[in-house]
Amino acid sequence: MKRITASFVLTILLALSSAPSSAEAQERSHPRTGGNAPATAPVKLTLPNKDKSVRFMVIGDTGTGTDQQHELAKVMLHYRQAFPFEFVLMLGDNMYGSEKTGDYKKKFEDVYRPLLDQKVKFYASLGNHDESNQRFYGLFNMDGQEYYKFSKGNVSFYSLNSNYMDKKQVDWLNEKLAADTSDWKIAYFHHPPYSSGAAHGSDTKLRQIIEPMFVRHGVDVVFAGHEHFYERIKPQKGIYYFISGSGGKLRKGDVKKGSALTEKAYDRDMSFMLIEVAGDQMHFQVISRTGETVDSGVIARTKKQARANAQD
Amino acid sequence: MTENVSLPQSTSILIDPQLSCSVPTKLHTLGGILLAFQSGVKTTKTSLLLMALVALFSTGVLAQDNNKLIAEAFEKRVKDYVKLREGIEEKMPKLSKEAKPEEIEVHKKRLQESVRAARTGAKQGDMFRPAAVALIRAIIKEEFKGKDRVELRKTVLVEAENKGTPLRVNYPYPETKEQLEMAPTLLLKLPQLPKQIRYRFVGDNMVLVDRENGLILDYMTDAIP
Repeated sequence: MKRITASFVLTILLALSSAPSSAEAQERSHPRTGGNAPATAPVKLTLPNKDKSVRFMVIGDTGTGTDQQHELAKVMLHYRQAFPFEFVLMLGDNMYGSEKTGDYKKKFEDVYRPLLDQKVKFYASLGNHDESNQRFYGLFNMDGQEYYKFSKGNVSFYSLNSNYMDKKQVDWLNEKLAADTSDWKIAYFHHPPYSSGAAHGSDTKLRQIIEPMFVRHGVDVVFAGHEHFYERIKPQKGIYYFISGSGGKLRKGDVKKGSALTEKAYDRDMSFMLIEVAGDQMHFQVISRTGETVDSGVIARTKKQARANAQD
Repeated sequence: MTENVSLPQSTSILIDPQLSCSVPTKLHTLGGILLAFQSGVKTTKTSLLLMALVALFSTGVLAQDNNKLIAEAFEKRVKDYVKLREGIEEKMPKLSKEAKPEEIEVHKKRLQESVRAARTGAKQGDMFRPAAVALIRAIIKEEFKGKDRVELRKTVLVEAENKGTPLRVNYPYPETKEQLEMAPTLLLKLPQLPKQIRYRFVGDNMVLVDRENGLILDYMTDAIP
């Protein structure tokens, strides 16, 4: 009986000693993802990871089901151990090619199964490769709508359908934004209003319609995909625009060199974004398929203060 | 039977035969104004200029009214389809907002088959009648000029992955093909569609697609200027 008790205590101690501290969790290295997958760099979190902050991940153009998408998903999972994000924004092209039952499994569920099992919620938007019926898919949390709004803490999220921005959607967006009193307003959708992509570039027709609304109603940050790379755009009219469209596909070397729009870009490998909104600050970290941090920083929310001051 | 009306800026539109009763009335009114003006005023350079201005203004108003009527007639044809389709859908099990992929697939297929069966004989031009086609072509041409037109042609005719998609009315748009983005600035100007129906560029064509069952309702050619 004593032997059993001793071995039980020893097992517990071993388990405890092997469990990393939070500092270790952020520094440890991870095994190779298998096959020809590149080695992943140690998890190095630049986000503050504060209590009660709004923590989420941003991915775009994911729906391929390829080995590379799986490899990137493994890096996401590693980072979630250090940074327990609660939900994910999907920037469209959630499903390339056919959309049969098996495709939902192969191109989404199988890839993100560990995150889904950990109750991470995915909030999708639609891209040019997505059928409208995806809005009924339970795991995309779209509530049967092609465009919708939800809130987390002091942040409002607007998932838009940039593929078909008709009058009904424009009116809805205007109305919702006008009534929104949240500290942060974040919009996300597929087509980028600003982009340095050689293949696609800025969607100026979309910008013509949505930018005045964003400016008028104080949208702080915009996330878009469509371009298969990462780009942080120099703030435009007080709004921060990000492109994160290499979650499943990569267009290597597509960012135009010397583009006046680019603050930072990464088009050498696939990537995803981690975001933390803590009070008046939004921290971001961009991580590649090899686990390297390719961009990071913090955005301070100042516009509403400025507007309030102007009104005083 | 259609009738051509000349407009300012050398544009012309076709008058939908359904609307022909309203047009002579307006032409008659315009003529009346001009005659009254002529009889009461001494013909000088000023009065001739005024007459020309009245004529130009009236023709512009006439064209606008006519375009509105053409758009409304087109919208009605699309709404009639939606009414038919909603009647069919009401009899089917409702798709939950938290559906599983297999439920989505089954629902789409059932709706597709039922609507196809109810629309046997549907053909190209049922919705895109000549007047509507002329109006829509004119709107697209007006929206995309210069650099925008070059960009549109590049996007739709060169880069788009859907450009070779075969089009058949009352058949499904292939789900493996991309659904090219429609410029919001254009959507705000085109005749307004019910939420279930979408405009879509496929090559040089403008297509009407049902977003839920994926069926091609109709298409018009030579849509890209």
